Amino acid sequence: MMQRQKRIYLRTLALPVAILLVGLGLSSAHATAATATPAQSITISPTSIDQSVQPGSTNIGSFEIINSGTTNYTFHVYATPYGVTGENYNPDFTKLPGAADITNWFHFSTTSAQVGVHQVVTVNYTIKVPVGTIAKGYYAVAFAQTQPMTDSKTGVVITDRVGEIFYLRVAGNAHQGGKLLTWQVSFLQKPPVTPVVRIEDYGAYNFPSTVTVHIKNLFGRTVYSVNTTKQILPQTIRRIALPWSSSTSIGIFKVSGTAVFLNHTYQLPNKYVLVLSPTVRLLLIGLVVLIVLAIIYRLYRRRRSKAHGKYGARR
Amino acid sequence: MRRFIAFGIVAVGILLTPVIASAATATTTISSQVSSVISLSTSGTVNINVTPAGAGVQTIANDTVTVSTNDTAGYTLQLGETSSGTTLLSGSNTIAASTGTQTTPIVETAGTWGYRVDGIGGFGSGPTSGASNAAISGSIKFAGVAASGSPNTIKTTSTTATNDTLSVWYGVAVDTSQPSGTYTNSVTYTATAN
Repeated sequence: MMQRQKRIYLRTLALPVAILLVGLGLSSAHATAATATPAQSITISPTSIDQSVQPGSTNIGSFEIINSGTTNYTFHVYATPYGVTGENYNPDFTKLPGAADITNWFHFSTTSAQVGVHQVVTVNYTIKVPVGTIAKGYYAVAFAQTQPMTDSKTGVVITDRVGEIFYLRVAGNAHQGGKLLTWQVSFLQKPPVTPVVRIEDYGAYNFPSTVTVHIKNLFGRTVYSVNTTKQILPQTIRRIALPWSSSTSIGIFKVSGTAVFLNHTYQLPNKYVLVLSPTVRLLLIGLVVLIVLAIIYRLYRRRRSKAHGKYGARR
Repeated sequence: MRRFIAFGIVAVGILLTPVIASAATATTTISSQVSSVISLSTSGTVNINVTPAGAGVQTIANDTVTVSTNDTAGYTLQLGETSSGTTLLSGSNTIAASTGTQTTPIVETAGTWGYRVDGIGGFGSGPTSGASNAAISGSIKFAGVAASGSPNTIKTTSTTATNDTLSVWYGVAVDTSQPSGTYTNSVTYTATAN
């Protein structure tokens, strides 16, 4: 009897499941079609360079521009200053107060070139560091920027630019220094769980810092690990947030990690996090309200029955 | 006989030992330097054609921006004007940029254009959908594209990304007082590693 019921149940389920699977298949095909190769695509490699240079020296190098789109285009090459604003390191490509403009140190082998579909163009550059340059860090970006397509000019015309950041440390009598300021993991969080490290550079040069964070569940299993290396610029504080984008809606987790910079490893101590999504919080509040109402109702009924009992006794 | 066999085994062992030893200690280091890359892909042009009517109509269209990087620092994507102009321009006729900002966007009025990205700044979660010659929305808010020197950050990530997509919506609102013509403006997306 049980077997028969099971078979009927499976048959009933088979059709909707099949429709669902076909639907999923079609939706994935649709998604594939939607993510077809875009018209305009520009790639630069490498994304940054961190090097020590001598005053009066000439340094050479190159970067590659790759066209992975479906149309040929012309791109322009130029350099801009590079700086950041705020602890979140919002990039700024204008000359910030107090910062040096080193764009005149750069010379490119080409300032404009055409790149065909799936072709690579190598741009050579020369960086001439003037004699007598003060020892400290200097920063700039070399941009490759697409030129607007000429065959369609209606509405908003898009140009794209990608850049290689140059972190140049001019050698000399200058100091390098930094410290870990804070390791913040709030106990109560909504998804995504976001551990935050703040690092200060109080020296004259930038330095790379590698931050690793592990998030474990209550059973000790690692559910998320992230490792990132970011540059810290002189006389700034960088806030490095490492959100776990696929956090669960509810749970208790242990967060720990390390921050490595200037030949020192800082242990980021264990912190516990209670994750409650807004929906879960609403449900919990609703549950608490229901329990309170139930208790009040029970007390009310108990008093009422007691009162009835008294009246009954009097009668 | 046994002595002879034992001697033979020892002799073969001695002969093979250097071979075995050398095989056991030979090492080859495989090294590969993987360069960092960052890619930026867009549609090239966003057409926002509009046919004015009555008190004003609005067309909303989007551009899908795709960024990939293998740099573990992640990336920052910014949007700003390509040059100093902020208006949609057709000869001497203009459609003004929205006076809203990314933190305080506003609903469009006839004769203005702007952008919005769901879920960032003050735009709200949306979701925004495309519209063609529709009544001007009283709830969908837009901002003027920032000047070329100070672009707005529209996305930042903390680690590597593969085909990270973002929809940037552009809206134009006009009424029948707007002279006909082909109005254009050029905006620039900037992608850099963090």
